Amino acid sequence: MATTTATRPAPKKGRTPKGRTPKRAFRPRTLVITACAWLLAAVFLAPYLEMIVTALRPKEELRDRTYLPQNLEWANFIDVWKESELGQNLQVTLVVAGGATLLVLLVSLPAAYYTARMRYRGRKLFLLLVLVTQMFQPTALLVGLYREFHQLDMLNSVWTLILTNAAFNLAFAVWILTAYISSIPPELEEAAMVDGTSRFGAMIKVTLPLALPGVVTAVIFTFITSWNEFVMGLTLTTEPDKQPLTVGISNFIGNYTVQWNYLFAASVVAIVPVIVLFAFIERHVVSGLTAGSVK
Amino acid sequence: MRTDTRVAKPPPSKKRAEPEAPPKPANGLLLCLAFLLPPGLTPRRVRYDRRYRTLDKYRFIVGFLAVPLAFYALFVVSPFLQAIYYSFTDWSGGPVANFIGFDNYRKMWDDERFWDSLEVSALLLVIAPLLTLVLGMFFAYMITAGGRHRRGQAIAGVVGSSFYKVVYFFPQVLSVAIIAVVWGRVLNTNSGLINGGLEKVGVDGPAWLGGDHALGVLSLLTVISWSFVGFYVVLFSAAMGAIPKDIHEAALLDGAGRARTFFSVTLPLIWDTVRTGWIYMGIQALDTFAICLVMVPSHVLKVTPVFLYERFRDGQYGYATSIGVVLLVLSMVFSLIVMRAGNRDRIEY
Repeated sequence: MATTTATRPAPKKGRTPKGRTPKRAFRPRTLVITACAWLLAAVFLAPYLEMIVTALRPKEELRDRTYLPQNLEWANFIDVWKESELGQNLQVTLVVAGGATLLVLLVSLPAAYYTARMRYRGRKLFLLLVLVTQMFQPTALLVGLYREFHQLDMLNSVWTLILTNAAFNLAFAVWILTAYISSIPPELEEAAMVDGTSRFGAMIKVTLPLALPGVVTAVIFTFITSWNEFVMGLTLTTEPDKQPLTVGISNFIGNYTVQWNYLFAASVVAIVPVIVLFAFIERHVVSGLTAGSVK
Repeated sequence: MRTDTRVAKPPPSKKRAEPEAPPKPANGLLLCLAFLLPPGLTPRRVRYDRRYRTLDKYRFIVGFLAVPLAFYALFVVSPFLQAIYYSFTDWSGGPVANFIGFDNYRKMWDDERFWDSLEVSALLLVIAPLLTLVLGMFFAYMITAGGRHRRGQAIAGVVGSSFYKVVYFFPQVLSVAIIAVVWGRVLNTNSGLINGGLEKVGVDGPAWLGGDHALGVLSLLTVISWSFVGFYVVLFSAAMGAIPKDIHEAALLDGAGRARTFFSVTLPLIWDTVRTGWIYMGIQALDTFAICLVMVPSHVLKVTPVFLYERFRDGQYGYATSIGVVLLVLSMVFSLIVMRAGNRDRIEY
């Protein structure tokens, strides 16, 4: 399989000996590889299709084994909106994700800037702390956090979820922003300061615009993970209308029957914003994700 | 770098307005107030004080570093320390928490349900990283080096590689709760996608989540790999892309095929990334919670975090935290083992 590529420098018999590779005819190997790749991609995509199709299935056809329903029931979306707390859940999730993102940005940007620019005592320790606490599983922190918020009488409050989500995403944001800011030469700032700006001005006007891709990545990532957060929403909120969307969706799975069409209509509502955001910054995420980790 | 240029040149017009030549040293109270004022509003008398410089430095530290640290201490470190403390108590939600020593841990040791859950978690811990990383590496290699030579490049990805990257990565941005419900439907015995497909070829599909232990673990592994593989595809293809092209070209010139190139050149060069990914994936596998809780009926099997959650729901907070502590210790031990075992000489390029 691999020999054809390996012998590329040595021209094959019957082919042009020099210059550009000639237009090759259809080769069975390429065809097989492409087919496999498409098949794999299809396997990976199938669950989404199933979700969308089921969201549009009428109630009577839910048990059918056909891949596509005979009739499309758009009213599923309206029904699920009316009959469940989807609206409130969506609102909670929006506020939580937005608030946590803002908070993370406000807190992590200065910390990352300071860590990237200054050599202070305990700098390594700080970075290590950030990295180690990334390893803490949320389930292990669950009781501690529950007790903390129980004492503050803040269970079922949006603030609780904003604070916990922000705290969980802080490490990643600090880490990635530190990596980004470190890669910007400090001489640029020094030049601006020689020209009369303050350190703060240099940070805002010089470093921040250059670090913008990193900031965007951190922001979007925080937003998406807060949007998707499940464990804390499940444990720190108990009233159905105060719960975030992910918990609301999982509540659809009752003990005996599952209303799959409603369940998936709600899921579609929950993932549309994520798809839109992800499409916007897909390039940033895919490159920004690695900026922090590979370096 | 630390010199403060703001103070250097006051505008000349102002100088005429207040002609005090050497500004009087500010008193302590003013200095304290200046701590909260932005430099523009601080009186010059204070700004010219020798101590203002130190103050400015500390202000920088407090504003930039102390707030994040406090935040972190309150919501990550403190719950963690509390968890350790409460794992030695019998706290069950009331105002009283009695210190009971290692009783929770002893209870855990004798609890068969705990060992059953740990068995599943251990299986996930061992198999999930292996499966996910191998798949991720394969896809990443195909994406960066699997294609035919085009436009004179020796190394190229398969056609449409960025499309595949997005397809594989996408589950990573979905909520685990949604992943769990979607797969719950796909794996459903009667109306699921998989059994529907099996029926078409004449096979009666098994009840994936219906009671068989092994099938349950298999289902969990499938879902975990499906949802995490994209992250590693992106991670590994970035690491592979960072390898200079001429190294691959040299391997090709020497007659190495794709497989040989991968094992002798690519893998050793990205080994550091692989090891990091291994640790991360292991921790993720040990932390499988929502997928199991939402997707798998609780009588079939549970992973340890679900067992913990059930104790939490029953109000056995002390017992639940001790399980959490054990989970944390397990993931640290796992990280250390992989770190040690995967320690090779770093190859620089």
